[in-house]
Amino acid sequence: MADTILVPLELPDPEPLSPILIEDLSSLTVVVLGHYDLPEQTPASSAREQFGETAQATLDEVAEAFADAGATVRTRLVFGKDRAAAIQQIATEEGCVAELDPAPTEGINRILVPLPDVAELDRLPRFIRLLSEDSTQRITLFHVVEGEESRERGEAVVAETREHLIEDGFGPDAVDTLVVEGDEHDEEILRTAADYDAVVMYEPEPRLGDRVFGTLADRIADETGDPVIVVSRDY
Amino acid sequence: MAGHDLDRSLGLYPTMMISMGAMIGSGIFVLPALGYKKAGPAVILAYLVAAAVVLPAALSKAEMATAMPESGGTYLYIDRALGPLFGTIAGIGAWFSLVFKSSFALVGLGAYLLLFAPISQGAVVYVALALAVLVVALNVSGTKMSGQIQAVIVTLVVAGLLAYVVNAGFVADAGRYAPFTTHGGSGIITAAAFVFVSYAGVTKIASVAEEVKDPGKNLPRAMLGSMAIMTLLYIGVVGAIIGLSDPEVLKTGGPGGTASLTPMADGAGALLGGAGVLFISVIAVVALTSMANAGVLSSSRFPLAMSRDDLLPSSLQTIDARFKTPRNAVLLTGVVLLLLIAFVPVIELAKLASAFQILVFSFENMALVAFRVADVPSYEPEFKAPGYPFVQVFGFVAGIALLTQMGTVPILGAVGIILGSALVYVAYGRPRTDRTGAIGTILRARRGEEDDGIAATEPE
Repeated sequence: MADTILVPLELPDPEPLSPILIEDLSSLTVVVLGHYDLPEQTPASSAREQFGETAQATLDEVAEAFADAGATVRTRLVFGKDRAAAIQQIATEEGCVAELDPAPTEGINRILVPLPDVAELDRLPRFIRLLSEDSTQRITLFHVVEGEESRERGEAVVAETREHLIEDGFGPDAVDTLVVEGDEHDEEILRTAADYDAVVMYEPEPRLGDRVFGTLADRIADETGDPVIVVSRDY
Repeated sequence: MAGHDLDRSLGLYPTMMISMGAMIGSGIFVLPALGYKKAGPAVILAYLVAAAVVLPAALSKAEMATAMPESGGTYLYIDRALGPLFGTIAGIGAWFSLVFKSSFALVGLGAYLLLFAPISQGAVVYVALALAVLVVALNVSGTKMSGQIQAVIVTLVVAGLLAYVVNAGFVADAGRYAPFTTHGGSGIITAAAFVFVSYAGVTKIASVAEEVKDPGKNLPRAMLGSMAIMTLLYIGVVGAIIGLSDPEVLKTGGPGGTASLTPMADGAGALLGGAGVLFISVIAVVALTSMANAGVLSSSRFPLAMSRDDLLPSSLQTIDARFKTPRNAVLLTGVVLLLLIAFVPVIELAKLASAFQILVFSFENMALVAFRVADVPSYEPEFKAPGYPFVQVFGFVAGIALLTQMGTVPILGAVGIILGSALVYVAYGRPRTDRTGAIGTILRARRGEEDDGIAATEPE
């Protein structure tokens, strides 16, 4: 069975999805989630009554684009206050193994893959492959060495993962590695991501600041304009 | 198409915080002096009496909330139990009660703010009007108040109140507690009716009941627990206020020689090295602002829910396309709020807020009885209120008893709201609805007819 990926949209006016992304995800089962953000004052049921049809029509349009590309599509429409909670819950209910944080893109030449400090990865390479096209020239496996961790350990993680990818059929020239040392894990990733066209990463540990600043994936998508695929952990 | 069903994520502690956050407000920052004027130092006992009368309604509401997982709250439960006539009365009553409460909180907020300015307390109405406009504007444009911010505010306010009580313990004047009762037992009952609103927030638990983990255990615990904590805190704070303040200031320090609206600040000059007044005023401003905002926010839900049930004109349920808020319902609430602040004397605001609240709570107890007796198949609460039916009957009788002790204006107000709402129902709602509620089921069963009211009593 194909992996299921969640594509959350902010209603009522979602940003248009790039045809490239739709094409890339076409081999998967896609769950298009429309989250209609509401303030405290408004009960979800009232908003659904009034805006439900229009919102569903907007969702169906996006779903159709995925279906035309060959994907199996389901849609979910949620009215509510807490977007992050809605995404979490629908992802669980629909059995999604990844989430797309969409951003406009015209072509994916360079993909950044921030790695956690383990090398035994199964799910991640599958999603790297999705985004890699003929035009993709560079995939960078990236690791930030922080705290007690030694640089050797970081180098080992990226090198080992690179071996896996090459065994998996990626061209040796296309995959390179980058290890940096820094105290600010997220900042390093953000800074590096600016030079790339897309990011594929594992779901990071939730942090205290997520609610205030947004999750790392949200920040990458917002600040660098790269689409991000967040893969739920299988390590 | 199911709505957004959040997982059960609230444990005992966050549920208690929600409840306490909804309780803290004018009940402790503004009302103690008014109660003191009615009962003397025995106002402390009034807080205990009020808690005992609120509890049955809180438990009843929690049970109904786990059976009808919808926003709409009080109005919805009473409507589905006792039919649309009582639904209209309860909806308008609960709406008015919250608007009165908000307007009172705003006047209190204005009074505390004026402590910082060299202006007499007589200007409090204008300050309150300006604040009301601000709060309404906020609510039209839509707000996002996260649970964490709420928890931080509650923690700060509770910690501040504790510091106040403990510090006051060292400087309080024991002589001020004698004589303990100045107006006898009836004075205490009158004061209890007054401070009733101090606990009304506990029913906020009912509105999040669907999100509470293990509701059969956590709902009653959170209700009893938060009420126990708040009762102790209230007793401590009121005791401290009496021990710290000059009785004459408490009784006549308000605008136009009425009871003080800033009782916590009145004696606080002796506290925390003289910084007491500033410290307490800041806490009061934070708590009262949060309360006034929450009041407008939740009160505008009532016209909205009633309009959805065809009991009020449909324009009230329109959600504004730009702000995504029920603009018309909020504006209507805002207009009433401004009128109340401008034209109703502050003491009457407090009295009427309590009176309507007591009325609605009494109905809530009866609504639960109606559901249990009717035994509607669709009524399957996850949490069952303990002590049925004695607790509910006590809550109802005690509520009515309190109501009769409040003086002429609140009784007239309560009667007026019942008659006025009935009129609204006859003129608008009745031709448009055919629900009968659980009580209709009971009546039909008595007459031996087939029950056809089930569909109508089921929440939509």
